[in-house]
Amino acid sequence: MSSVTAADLVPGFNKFQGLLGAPIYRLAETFGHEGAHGQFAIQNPAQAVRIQQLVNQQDAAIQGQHYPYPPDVMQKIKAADQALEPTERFAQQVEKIINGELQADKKKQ
Amino acid sequence: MSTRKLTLLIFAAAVLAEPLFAQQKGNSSPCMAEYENHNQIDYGPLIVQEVKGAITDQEQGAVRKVCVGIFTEKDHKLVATTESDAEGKFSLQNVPPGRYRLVVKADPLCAANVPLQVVKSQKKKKVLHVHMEPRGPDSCSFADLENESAVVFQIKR
Repeated sequence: MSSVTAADLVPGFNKFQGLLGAPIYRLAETFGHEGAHGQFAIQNPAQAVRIQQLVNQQDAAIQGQHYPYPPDVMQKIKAADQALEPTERFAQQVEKIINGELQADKKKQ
Repeated sequence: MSTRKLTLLIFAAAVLAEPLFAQQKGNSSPCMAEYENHNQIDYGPLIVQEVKGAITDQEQGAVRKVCVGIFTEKDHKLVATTESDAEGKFSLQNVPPGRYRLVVKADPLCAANVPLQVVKSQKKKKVLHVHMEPRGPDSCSFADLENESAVVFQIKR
């Protein structure tokens, strides 16, 4: 990895900042991000179920269709995309905290 | 010819010629590309000699008339843009060797952002196959390298 990635939903946070030369720390940050999606689902079960329903509806609508998609398929893709935003934002917020902790740990060693 | 007629003639010529010059200015393509990098895990870079390939959707259909842009990886400068053709194929000529990021936008699908390394020569020439997908939890459109014939064969029209 040669550069950091700007987190699109948490302004000012760059993913893997300060951890470019440390693969195991980057792995820990990614693990924390993915775990945060699980934490979001546990804390917001109704919303998590709704997200999964919308993603399933999107996947079913796409089956057998080709780009450019008809308006009903476009609407389902956009709905699923919007529904995913809260869980992604939460995961990036948690990742930012984890990144700070990992950077501090790396400095200690 | 009166001065008034001459003025009108010059004005009409200027109005008619404007789109012609506008097309020349946007030499490669009129599409608007913006740098993007939202990969949770950034893969690659994919090593190619020429920046060309094909874009398909989830059902292996050609993704036609979408914007393809290439940016320098270091300072995110736009190098060139083009549009995919009716078969979903694209080609960006004369890209000098170096590290780049290819961005493909096809709304409402997740924009693909592909790290590339353009090299002077390559033993086995490979082309890019961009797979366009809707955004998922930490998943997005991606690209891989394939033989040219394989990509063309796969695309359903």
